[in-house]
Amino acid sequence: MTADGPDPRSADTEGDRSGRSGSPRNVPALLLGLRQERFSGTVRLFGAPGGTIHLRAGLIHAIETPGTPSVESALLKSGRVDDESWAAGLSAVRDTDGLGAALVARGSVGAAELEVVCAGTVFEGAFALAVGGPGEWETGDPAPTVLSRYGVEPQSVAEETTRRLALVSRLWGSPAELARARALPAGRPDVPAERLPHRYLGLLALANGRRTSRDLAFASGRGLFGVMVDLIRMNGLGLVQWEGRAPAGRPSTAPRVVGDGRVPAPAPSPVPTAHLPRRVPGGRRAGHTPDGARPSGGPEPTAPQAGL
Amino acid sequence: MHAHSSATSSAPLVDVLASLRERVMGVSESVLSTADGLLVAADTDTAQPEAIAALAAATLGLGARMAQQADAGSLRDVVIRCGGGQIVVLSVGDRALLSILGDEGVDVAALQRESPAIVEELLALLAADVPS
Repeated sequence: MTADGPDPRSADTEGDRSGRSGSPRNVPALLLGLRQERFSGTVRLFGAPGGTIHLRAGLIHAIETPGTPSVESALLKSGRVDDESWAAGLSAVRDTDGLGAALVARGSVGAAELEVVCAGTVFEGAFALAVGGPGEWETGDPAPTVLSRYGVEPQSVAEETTRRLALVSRLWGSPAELARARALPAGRPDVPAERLPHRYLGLLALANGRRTSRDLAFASGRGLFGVMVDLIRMNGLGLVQWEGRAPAGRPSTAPRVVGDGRVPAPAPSPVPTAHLPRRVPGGRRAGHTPDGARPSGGPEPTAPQAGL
Repeated sequence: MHAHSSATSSAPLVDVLASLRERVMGVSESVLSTADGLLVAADTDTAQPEAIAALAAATLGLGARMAQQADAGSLRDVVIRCGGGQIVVLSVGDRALLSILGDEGVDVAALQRESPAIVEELLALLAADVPS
């Protein structure tokens, strides 16, 4: 679900509106195509994790995936709605799109509050699907779930997802790798507990070396992206470390960011300058560019000659 | 992987159970028990393994009776869906049971995909229990 997908293969397939399926890479483009068609229904993705994207008139009104808490989980886990109200709301629903309205009508949750949770869950779901990687997809009929009242443009979702992936990649590294890492509290935090935000304390209480970011998101009723970013920052503060196969926290993050760009650059420069003056003077220009010309190789400067 | 001592050979079983958490998103704990409810091996955090083991036997027994009464064919597994999680109990051969505990978002499709392989791996390890 990133913004840079090529043309959808799907949009020009047969005209009927459901029952189409296709290959993975172009889901954002598929959604843009469905937006133009004002498609109402579901797009089911079969990845790890898969998920279901609920569309109404082409706008994304909900995304459900095992990768991040659904609206139901977010509402119940956070205590905004209790189990009884949820069950009563379910029984009051008349049509597939009415659950959210039923909850608001019963006074179980405020309309604005519900909309914030719903829209937030759309972005979290898109991020979780993107972290999970591509899979097959198929379109289908509308299915009941709690829908955002207004929906979100697929373009906005794709752009935001790209931004979030880039942020996690910059701060930590591969988002997929971070998704597999299991956090546990580090021995000696650098910051006293009373100065930590509630979010951090909540995650610290739940992190036990068995839970991934996704598990912590479900345990706390928060979104995957928010939990990931908090864990990265907590790792930086020495509050949590990574358990098991995932590389140990701080040493792995620093070289990952710095190393790619800077380490190769300074190393080769002193080597060629020491040798070039002794060789053919005309070969100097070509000798500058390929830094692979090591002194221990053949003394004959084959590359400069080829360059001439 | 021979059963040199039946009491100390649960580590490979625990490894298989722990791998469930890697293979299926949302699985948090799992318990392997005998068909009559005794604990064999567990990968648990807060759940009481002995209690889960005993309840697994009762759960699957009830499920089988219900399946029989409803004339619904042979029992595959018992799924318990709750507000904050799901529990799946399935049999591992004739003599063992596997209880899988997950959160409410557990990847059910992945669980269905992976559980036959898990059962097979457990069966292979448990086969050493039977003197041939």
